[in-house]
Amino acid sequence: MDPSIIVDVTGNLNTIGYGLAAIGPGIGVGIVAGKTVEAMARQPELAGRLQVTMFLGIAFAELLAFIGVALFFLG
Amino acid sequence: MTVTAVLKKALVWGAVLAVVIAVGAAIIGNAVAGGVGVTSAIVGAAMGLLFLAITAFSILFANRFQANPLYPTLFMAVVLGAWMLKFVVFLVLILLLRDQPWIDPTVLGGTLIVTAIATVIVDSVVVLRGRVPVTQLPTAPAESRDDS
Repeated sequence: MDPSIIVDVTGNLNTIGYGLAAIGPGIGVGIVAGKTVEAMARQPELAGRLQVTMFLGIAFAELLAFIGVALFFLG
Repeated sequence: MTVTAVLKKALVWGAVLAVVIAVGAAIIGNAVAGGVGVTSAIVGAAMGLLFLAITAFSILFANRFQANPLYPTLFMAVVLGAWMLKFVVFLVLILLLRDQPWIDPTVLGGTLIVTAIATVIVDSVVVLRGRVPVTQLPTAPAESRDDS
């Protein structure tokens, strides 16, 4: 190996990108779902509205992960 | 409009839009990569729809356990479990599809992104238009007597 190269990464870098793309949405979806369950436990009669809002929140958070998946193909 | 109605409407309109995108992307894919582009566009639109529909399905499924005392726990388990399962399934799918000879990765990736953005827009419009009422569930008479 060339002594000027400190780290030599081989393999498919897209897989690492996919993993990185899943971190943020994973945290986001976890918070959204967790907070919805918390709110439903406090006010069960509001469950309907909370779930619809959660659906929207998850859809937006997932979009980033989804683009990460698609970049796997584009990269 | 109930949650079920909103989610079903989002699913139906998402499916309609995915078909429209599949047709449009197939035409573009055919121009760019021939027959391989057409299959890639259809697979891409189907993956995009499936990816975003699983969330709605998981909520619909979780709501079947509404009467269960463990409903909040089950709800979270089903929704987050479906999310995780979806990611594992898609990781396997993209690893399998990437090197297939009948797939053009650029057309597939482009269709996935377009479908994802379009489906989120449809979800937003449906959710914003679907007026879910704030309803106080009436307590059953027998239950209220027990409380007093």
